[in-house]
Amino acid sequence: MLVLIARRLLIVLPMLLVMSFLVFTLVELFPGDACLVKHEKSGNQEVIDACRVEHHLEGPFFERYFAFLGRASDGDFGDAMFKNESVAELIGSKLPATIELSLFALLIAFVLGTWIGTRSALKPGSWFDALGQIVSMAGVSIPVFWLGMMVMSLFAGEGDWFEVGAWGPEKIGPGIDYSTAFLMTESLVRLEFGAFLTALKYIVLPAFTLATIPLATITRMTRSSVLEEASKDYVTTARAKGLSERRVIRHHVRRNALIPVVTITGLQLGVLLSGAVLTERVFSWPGLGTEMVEAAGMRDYPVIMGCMLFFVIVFVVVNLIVDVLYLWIDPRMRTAAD
Amino acid sequence: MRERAADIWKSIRRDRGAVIGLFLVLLVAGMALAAPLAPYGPKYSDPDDMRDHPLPPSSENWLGTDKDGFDVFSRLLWGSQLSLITGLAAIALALAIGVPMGALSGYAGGKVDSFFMRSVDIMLAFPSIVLAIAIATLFKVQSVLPIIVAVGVVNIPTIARQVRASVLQAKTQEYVVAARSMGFSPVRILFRHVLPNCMAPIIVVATLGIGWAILSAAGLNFLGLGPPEDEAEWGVMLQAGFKYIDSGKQWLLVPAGAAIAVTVLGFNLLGDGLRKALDPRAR
Amino acid sequence: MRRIGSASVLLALLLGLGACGSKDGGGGNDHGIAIEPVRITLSYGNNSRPYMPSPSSVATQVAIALRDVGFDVTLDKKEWASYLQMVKNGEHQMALLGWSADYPDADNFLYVLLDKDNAVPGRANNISFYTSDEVHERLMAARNTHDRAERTRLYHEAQEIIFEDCPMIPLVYTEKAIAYRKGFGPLGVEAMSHPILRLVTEPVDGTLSYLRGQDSVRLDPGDVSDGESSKVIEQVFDTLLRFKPGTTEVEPSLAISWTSSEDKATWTFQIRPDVKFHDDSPVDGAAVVNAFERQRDPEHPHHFKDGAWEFWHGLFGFVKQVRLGAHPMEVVFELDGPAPPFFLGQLAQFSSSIPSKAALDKLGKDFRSNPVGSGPFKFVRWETGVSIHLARNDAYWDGAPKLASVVFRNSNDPTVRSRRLRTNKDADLIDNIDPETVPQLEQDGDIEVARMPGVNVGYLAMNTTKKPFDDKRVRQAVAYALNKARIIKLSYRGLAKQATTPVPPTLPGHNGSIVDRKRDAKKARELLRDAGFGKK
Repeated sequence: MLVLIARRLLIVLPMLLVMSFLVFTLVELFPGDACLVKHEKSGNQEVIDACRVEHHLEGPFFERYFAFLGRASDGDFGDAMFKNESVAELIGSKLPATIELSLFALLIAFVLGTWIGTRSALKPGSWFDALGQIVSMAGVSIPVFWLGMMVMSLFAGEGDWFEVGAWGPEKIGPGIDYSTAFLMTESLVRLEFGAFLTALKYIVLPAFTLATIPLATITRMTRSSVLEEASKDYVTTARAKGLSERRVIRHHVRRNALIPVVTITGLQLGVLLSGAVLTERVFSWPGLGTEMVEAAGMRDYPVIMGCMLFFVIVFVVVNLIVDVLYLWIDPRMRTAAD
Repeated sequence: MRERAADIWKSIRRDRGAVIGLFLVLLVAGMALAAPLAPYGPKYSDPDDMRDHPLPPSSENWLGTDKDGFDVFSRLLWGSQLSLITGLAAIALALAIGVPMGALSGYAGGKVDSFFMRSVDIMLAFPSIVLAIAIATLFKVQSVLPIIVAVGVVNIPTIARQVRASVLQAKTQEYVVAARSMGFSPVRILFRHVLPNCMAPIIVVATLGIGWAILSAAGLNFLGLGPPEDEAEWGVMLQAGFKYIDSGKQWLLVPAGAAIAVTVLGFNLLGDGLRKALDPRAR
Repeated sequence: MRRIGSASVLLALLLGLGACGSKDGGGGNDHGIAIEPVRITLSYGNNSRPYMPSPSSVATQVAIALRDVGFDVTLDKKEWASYLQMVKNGEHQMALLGWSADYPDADNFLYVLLDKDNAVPGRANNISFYTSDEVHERLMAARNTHDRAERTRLYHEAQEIIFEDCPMIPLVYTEKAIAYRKGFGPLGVEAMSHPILRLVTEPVDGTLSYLRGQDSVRLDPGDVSDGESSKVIEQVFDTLLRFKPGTTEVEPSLAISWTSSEDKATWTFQIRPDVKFHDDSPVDGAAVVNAFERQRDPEHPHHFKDGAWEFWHGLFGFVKQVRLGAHPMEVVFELDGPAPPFFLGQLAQFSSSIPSKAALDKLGKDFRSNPVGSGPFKFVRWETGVSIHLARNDAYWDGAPKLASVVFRNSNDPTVRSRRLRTNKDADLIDNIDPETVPQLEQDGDIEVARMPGVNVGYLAMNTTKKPFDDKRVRQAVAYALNKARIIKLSYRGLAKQATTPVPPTLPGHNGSIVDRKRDAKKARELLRDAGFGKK
C-alpha cells in the first residue's frame, strides 16, 4: 500500500517540477513591462530598474528559475507588484474561497448526479431517463458563464434572497473570529447557523451553476455504471433468490456501481477548476481564479506565477489522492497494479 | 468505405439525438453562410445616430442594439462565422499536431512513446483554462488568433491519446502485419494503411472537440483575452452585455449565450451520435 | 475522403465569406468621394482610467466614425503594461490616452503632453511626438513669468497652434462622480483630491463605508502615486496648504502664513502652533523639514531604498533644500530659481503631507502600514486586501469631524460596486463609477450622485512620426470624422464634457474661444482625397 503511494509520488514530484518550469517559462514570455506601469508617473529609469531587481526580473533565466525554486521551498513566493501583500498571503486568502466553492459544487453534482443517474438506469427509456440525458447534455453544452448570468439575473436581483458580490468574514459572520477562510464550512462547524445561512445566500447560486459541469459526466457515468452492474450475474441470482428489489439495489448494485463514479468525481476537479475561473468572474467570487485573471491582465508576474502554480498543485495533488483512493477502494485494481 | 458510410448514415438517422445534433450544426452553418445577407455589417453603426443605445428590439433592429449601437441580430449571424472558424481552426491545429504525435507514439512504441505520453500527461495535468490563459497571454496582439492557438494546444492531448489508442489496436491487425512482412516502410504503413482505418474515432473526437473548442473560446473571450469589443463574436458580446445584467435588457445577454449553447449542443449531439454509430459497443 | 473534401470546401467558403463580409458592410454614404481605404491601427489600453472608464467603448466609437469616412481601422487592445511601453516608445499609429492634473495649472497639461521636451522615445508623455518650436517657446516663457495675464495669453496662443496642427484630438473632460447613500453628507467631488470626509456632518457619530476599486498600496504620503493610497492618506494627514473645498485655490492649513524673497527663490513658512500628531508628538518645523527632505535626499534615513519616490522629481525638482528657519516653527524652502507659478498648489497635494517624524524614527518602514499624521482621522488598523479602518481624531486642530469612523473596502468591478451601494446596501460611498450604472443610481431615491468637472482630459493621439499621420490633412480629417457627442453619450453615459483643447476648462489658461470642428464626413473625405488617398 505504502509502496503504491511512494511509487505515485515518485512520478508526481518530477512532474510538478517540470510544470513549475513550464509556468515559469510561460510567464517569462509574457509581453509587457509591469515595472513601467508601477512607476508610470515618475518615468525615472533608476526606479524602474530597482523595481525589476526587487521582483527578481533581472538576470539570466535559469539562475532566476532556480532562485525561485529555492525561495518557493521556503514558502516565499515573492510580493505582489500591485498590492500590498505577499503572494503567499494572497493565495492563502483567495484559494480557500475557490476550494470551498468547487467542493460544494462537486458535492451538489455528486448527490444530484448519482440520484438522477441511478433512477435513469433503473428505468431506462422512461421520461425521467430522457430528462436526465437532456440535463447531461445541457451541462456540457451551455456556457457556464452564461448560465451564471441567467441565474444571477433571475434569482439574485433586488429583493431576492440570494445575493452576489460580498464574500468575506465581516459580511458572513460579523463578530466571529474565523480561523480559516472556509467561511461556510467553518460557520457550520462552529454551529453558527446565522452565519451559515448568510454564507448559503452567497454560495448557493454560483455553486449550483458550477455544478452543472461535472453533473453531466457524473450522471452519465452513474447511469452506465448502474446499468452494467445491474446486468451482472450476482444480481440475477439475488433476484432469483427472491430478495426484494430494493434490497438488491441498495445494498449491492449501488455500492459497486458507485466505485468508478467516485473516482470520476475526483477527476472532475480539473474541469471544475476551469469552470470556477469563469463562475468566479460572473458572481464576483473572491477566489484564486479571479485573482489569476486580474493578475494576468496587470502583468503582476509574481501573482500570476503563484496562482498558476497553485492551481496546478491542487489539481495534481487531488488526482494523486483520487488515484490512491481508487486503488485502495477497488481490490481488483489493487492486485492488477501490484 | 462507401458501404460503411451508408451504414453510419442509417445509424445516425435512427438516433434522435444525432439527428437533432446534425440539424443544429447545419443550422449554425446556415447562419454562417447567410451572414453576408444580414441587415447590417458586423462592425457597422451609423456615426450620426444619437439615440440612447442599447435599444430594445424593433423593426429596424430585430434583436435590438448593443451599447455601442451595433445591431445584435446581424452580429449574431456574423458571430456564427467566427465561432465556426475558431472551432474548426483550433481543432485543425490540434489534429495537425496531435495526430502525428499519437500515431508515431503508438506505432513506434518504446522511448518515443514514453516521451510523448509523458508530455501529454503533463499537459493534461494543467486545468485547461490555466494553460489556455497562459498561452493566450503570450501574444502581443489580442485577436482571435491567440484564442485559436490556446484552445487548439489544450486539445492536443485528447487527440493524441485517442490516435495512439487506435494505432495501438490497429498495429495488431492482419493487414498491418502483412504489410510489414512485405517490407513496406513504417511511415508508409502508418500513413497509408493504419491511419485511414483509424479515421472513425478521430472524427468522433474531433467533432466533440469542435464543440468544446467553441465553448472554451467563448469563455476566453468573455474573460477579455480575445479580440477587441467591436468584434462580432458571441463571447465578446456577452462580455459587453455582462454590465447590463441588472438592467432587464435581456436582448444583450440571451441571444449570444443561447447561440453558443445551441452550437455546442449540436456538435456534442452529433459527436455522440457518430460515436454510437461507429462503435456499436459503446451503447 | 469525400467527407473531408466537402468539409474543406465548406471551410473555404466560410473563410472566404468571413473575409469579405467583415470589411465594410451595411450602410454608409460616401458623399460622392471614394477613398482608397487608409489602413490604420488604433491602440488602446484595456484598463479603466479616471479620464476614460471604458477605453474599449471609446475606441469602438472612434473606429465607427473613422470607418465612415474611408479609414480601415483595426482595433489593437492591449493590457496596460504592454500598452504603456508601446506608447512611450512611439510604436503606435493612433492611441487613446489621457491625463489627470498633478497640479492645477495649464502647464501640467500642455508641457507634459505636447512639448517637444517630452517627445523622447522611451519616456515620452508627448505620445504624438509633436515637436513644434512655436509651442515650446510659449510654454517656456509662461513658466518663467508670474504675470497671470501674460501667461494666459501665451497659453491661449499655444492652444490655437495646437488646434490647427492637430497632433492629438482632445475628446472629453471627464466628470468625476461619486454616489452615496442619503443620510450621509455633505459629500462632494473635489477637483484636486478625493471627497473630504472631515466635512461630513451626518450621521453624527456614524461610520462611513467607502467602497473603492483596490486596496491601497501603502500609506506613506511621500512615496505613493496611486489614487487608492492617496484617498486614505488625505484623511490621515495634513499638508502645509490645502485647497478650499470645491475649488483649486489654496488656503492655510499647517502653514498659517508665508512670504517669499524678491527673486522668489526663497520661501518662508510659519507653522501653526499647538498642533499635535496622532502620537502626541508636536507638529513643528523639524517635522515639516523631515517630510520634504526625506523625499529629496536619497541618503535621508527616512528615504526607504525600495521606495519609488515618484512625485518628488515631477513636482519639486526645482527645490534645492528645505531647512529650519530662524525659529523652530519656521521652515524655509530654497529653490534653484524663481518658483513656478503653481508652487503653492503643489504644496497642497497629498505627497506634500506632513508625517510624524517621531513615528518615522520609531517605526521606520513599518510606517507604511501604520501611518501617523495630524489629520482629521486616525489610523486604526489595516487588514491587507480587505479593509482599512480610521477613527475620528478628537483633537483635530480644525475641529473634530462629526463622523466617528471610516472604513475603506474594495471591490474590483465597478458594476459590483454600484450594486453593493444600491442593492446590497453594504457600502455608503463609491467613486470611479461605471458610467453605465449612473442613470440607475441617479434614479434611485436613496442614492445621491454628485458630479463635477474633473481636471483631466481624454484624448486621441496620432503619432506624427508615422504615416499617414505625418500629414496634417489626414489628422484634420480624423477630427472632422469624429462625433464627440456620441462618444460622450455612449461611452461616458453623459459623464463628460466635450473637449476642444488639452487644457480643462476648470483651469485658468483654458482657451474657451476655440470653436471645435463639427463632424463633417464630406470635409473629412475631401481632406483625405487631397492628401492623396482618393480612389484612382
